[in-house]
Amino acid sequence: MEILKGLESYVAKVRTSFSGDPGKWADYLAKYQLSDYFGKDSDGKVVEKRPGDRSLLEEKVNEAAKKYSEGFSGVIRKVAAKGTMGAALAYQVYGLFSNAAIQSIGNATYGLFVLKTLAEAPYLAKYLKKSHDWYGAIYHNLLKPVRAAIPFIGPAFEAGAFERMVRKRIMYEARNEFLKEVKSYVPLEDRIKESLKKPIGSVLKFPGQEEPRELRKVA
Amino acid sequence: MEFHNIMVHAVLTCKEKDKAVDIAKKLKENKERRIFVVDDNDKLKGVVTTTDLVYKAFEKKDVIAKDIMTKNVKHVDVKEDIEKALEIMNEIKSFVCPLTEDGKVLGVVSHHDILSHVLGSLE
Repeated sequence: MEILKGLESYVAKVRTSFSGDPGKWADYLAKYQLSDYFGKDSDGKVVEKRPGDRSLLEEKVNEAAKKYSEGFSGVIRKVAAKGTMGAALAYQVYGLFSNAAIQSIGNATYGLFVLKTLAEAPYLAKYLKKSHDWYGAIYHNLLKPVRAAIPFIGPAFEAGAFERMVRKRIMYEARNEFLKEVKSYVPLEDRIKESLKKPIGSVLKFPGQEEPRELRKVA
Repeated sequence: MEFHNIMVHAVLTCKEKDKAVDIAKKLKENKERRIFVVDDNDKLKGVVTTTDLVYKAFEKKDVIAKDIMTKNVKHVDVKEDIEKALEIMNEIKSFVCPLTEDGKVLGVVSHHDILSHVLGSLE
């Protein structure tokens, strides 16, 4: 069940990242990432448990979106992304109806992917400087060869991949800022330290025993 | 993620005056590699491993646990924090750490169980 839930959340995240509507990003966060603060009504619509949380979440999403709105919608990058991937797609379609060798179509696709990667490199550097999202950047680049190997769909996915990476980051930052605001955000390092500072006697389980050993017995 | 308690794994114990040959038999029967040496009050005095048996007791007569055991065994008390157990494992380069209560041996805790507990408590 946990695996299915995780998979559903991942699919929803990917689907949401295709949308440029901040309202949908907030919907995703409320439904999957912040389910402790949002519930569902009888129609399955996401509703806030505490008045004002929805507007706070939307505010955080808009703030994060604004942070990344400047400097990433460059004309050069957009033209390069749409142009190269459009060309790759067009060439693959042309390959269907012509006698062009598969090898030459593959080489052209890889070449156009490399061209796109080079064109977006300055923007990626700018993005990393602003977000420090190394995971997102590595994931984005590691998927490039995979997308290049998939005919038709690959170039179409690659065309908006950079935007999707930024949108995922926006959702991540909005979630953290929302949790900070409602005072329940604890950095991961602090949570690990806290769990290691517990007396070991309070969390022990002996063979054949279901419940943890009570601390008062050992204190 | 499910919350995991740290499992205490049972261990073998023997007395200081127990013969090496009997300890070897006990280890073989239980398919274990270490046995903790305790006094009459079950307080931890040392540990004997299969390596100790091979290097210190092989082809020797009347060797007892006290002669071959490693003394001053690092251990974590139930009142100490989980981090201490990890520090000891790191220090002795082992994936388990002896657990005691007022010096008495309770068992061992494993690196794997501690990691599961920490990861489970993050959710």
